[in-house]
Amino acid sequence: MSRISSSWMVAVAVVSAAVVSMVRPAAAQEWVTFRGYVETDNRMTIEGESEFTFNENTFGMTVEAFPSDEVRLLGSFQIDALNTQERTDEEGSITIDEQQRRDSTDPVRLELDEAYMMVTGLGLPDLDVKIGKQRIQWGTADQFNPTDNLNPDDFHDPLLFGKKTPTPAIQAQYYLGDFTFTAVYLPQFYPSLLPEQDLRPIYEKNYEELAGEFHINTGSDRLDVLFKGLMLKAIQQAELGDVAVRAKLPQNGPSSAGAGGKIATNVAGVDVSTSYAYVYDDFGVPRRVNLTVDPLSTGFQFIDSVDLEINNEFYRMHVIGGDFAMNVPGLDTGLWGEGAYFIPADRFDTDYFLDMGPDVNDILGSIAHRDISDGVVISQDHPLDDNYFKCTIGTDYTFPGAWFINAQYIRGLPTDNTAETVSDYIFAGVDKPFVHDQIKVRFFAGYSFVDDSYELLPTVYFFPVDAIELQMGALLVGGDLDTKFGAFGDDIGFFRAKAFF
Amino acid sequence: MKRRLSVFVLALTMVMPSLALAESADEILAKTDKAINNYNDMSMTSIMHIKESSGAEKTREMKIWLKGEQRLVKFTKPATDAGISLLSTDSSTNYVYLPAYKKVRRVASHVRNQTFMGTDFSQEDMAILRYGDDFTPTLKSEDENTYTLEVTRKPDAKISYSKLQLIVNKKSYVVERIDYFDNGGDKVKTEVRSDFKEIPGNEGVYPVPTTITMTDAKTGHETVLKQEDLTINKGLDDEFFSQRNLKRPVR
Repeated sequence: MSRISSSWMVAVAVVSAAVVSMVRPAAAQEWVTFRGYVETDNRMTIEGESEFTFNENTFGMTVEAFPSDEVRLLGSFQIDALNTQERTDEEGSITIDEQQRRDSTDPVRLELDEAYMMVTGLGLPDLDVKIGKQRIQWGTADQFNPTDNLNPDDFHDPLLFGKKTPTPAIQAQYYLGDFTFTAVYLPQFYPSLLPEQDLRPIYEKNYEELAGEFHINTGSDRLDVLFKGLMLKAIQQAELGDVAVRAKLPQNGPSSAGAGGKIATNVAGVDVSTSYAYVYDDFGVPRRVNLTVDPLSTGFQFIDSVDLEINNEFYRMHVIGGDFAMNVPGLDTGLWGEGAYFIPADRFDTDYFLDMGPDVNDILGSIAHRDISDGVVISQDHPLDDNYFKCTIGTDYTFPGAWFINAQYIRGLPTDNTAETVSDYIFAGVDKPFVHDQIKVRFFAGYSFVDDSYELLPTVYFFPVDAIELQMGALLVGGDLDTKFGAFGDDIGFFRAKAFF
Repeated sequence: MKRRLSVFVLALTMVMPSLALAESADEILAKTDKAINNYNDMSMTSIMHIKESSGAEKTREMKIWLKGEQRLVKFTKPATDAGISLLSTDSSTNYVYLPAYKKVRRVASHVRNQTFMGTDFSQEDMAILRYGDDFTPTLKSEDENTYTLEVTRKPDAKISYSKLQLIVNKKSYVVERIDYFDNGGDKVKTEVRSDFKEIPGNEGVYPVPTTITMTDAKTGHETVLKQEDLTINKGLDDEFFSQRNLKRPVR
């Protein structure tokens, strides 16, 4: 299905909700509901020189309409007022043109969260169909779900790690006794939203590892020797220059659509499901990496910096999943597990090209009697040659005194998207309410076995009156910037206030 | 001889009515269980007023549907909790739907003896349907209108309280007051049921308390639950208590 048709689905849902709201105002109290919130979210670094890093003030709203017993329309959106500082350049400046525009001095962002229509008993009494922009949540595990690959990841906010973005889809669910059958069609691919963090330390580390593995294979022995003698050592010792990253989206058409199916039931008190999805990885894998040098200006043996241009692509994959959730008999303890086997359907390689500029490329190409006008391959990876497995298993229990403990082992976070990058983690949390749930203290921690990085997330929640929630806490990370949790950057403190209506 | 015996029995009955009609604790509890389950299914709107020690008051409002062990609860107020739904199909199968996460989660039964959404009730308090299943009764005393039963937890019962003291109405056999005791034998809270409303039940009249007050014995913290729009025997089928329905919003 094309981009037009997926937009059509969203448009139908939005317009339907709007029309319902406007055409029947007299009955609005009976069958249109509104709920929403106002939130302020403020964060600042708490190490070194304190700096406000995040300030968003949000108005969010959800409208639901029920034009008949069988039909439900839902639209939810949020308007975020952003901190002006987010629009500045690296030196904290804005141009005079930007200062003359309201969207720069008082930036606002509108986000449509979900917009769908749901029909219950469509044709069959036990068939529900939902069409429009929607969140399709798969998996029984807590927060990290290896089987949940239908909506793209939203990595924008480290405090909301694991969040997904609703996308246009058609979902049908059929209920037959203890069985629930789900079929999903996603007409269009959407990439994940990446965090606004400094990725350079990661590229520098990757470049350092890559440089040590360079080999020259132009097809000409004489040329290979020339390269090695002239510039290989210089390149390996050069610093990383500019970095540009691009991601090529799949062709927009029926060939890029995704689909999935799931069967869920209860066997002897254990909730189980098995699922299959044919979708794209939404994070991206490098397909071509250009290392650009300019030997004509520096001299071959004095190359001091290498610019990187990384061209990512998104690969197709089959995902075969299963999960369970249960109450452990006799222990009153929750136990859940989930696993997914990823089979890349597109098994492209990552080629690293050395590009010395058109003049040098042509000259060397003529010597080697090969066309190397685009550069010469100096290294190659095979990230998609192997299938991989992600899983999680976790447990929870409430001890006397209302101490709620939750712990889970995870193999493979959403960002681990190749066999080589899948690694192991452990997450655990403790919740303790006080004063009849007016105050809740939560301590959450995560640890990465692959690089010994960690995160600590202590938070105090305060509910002073009905419909008001205050949060104060900190995100403390350990590890270098090129590690899993260290990549979150500086330790931050945060304060949030949210009022619901 | 036979006539003399009949006259004696009649006289004894007239002189000592309480002795002639005395019921055992088991009989009283059986009648209580029957009286409080005098329906097939029930639905209601429950409004919980939580009185903080500071004097402040919070309100929780929810719609509840019951059928045997099956229970579906949907919160409608305050806005913070609106949309949160709980489904219990038996003592070990519980689900929660959190609209913020758009997800149904299985919840283990360790949550049943925790406080319910900041109130003085626990899920367990609201899930005890038949006292005779989990407790052994002893008749402690009686007066003109009520029996006082002490019910002690059976060895295999999955109940967090060691015993309860029930005040049972002699006429209707409904429970008017419950004192809850922990494993140490200390009273932890008291539940008072009042403002009974009589509606037609499966057999005769079904007196339903429309006000239930739960008081924490240590802190004095109090939750007053008002039950409104109470209807029974609407013919809810078992499929109503499903995950499909759990996700549906309240209209």
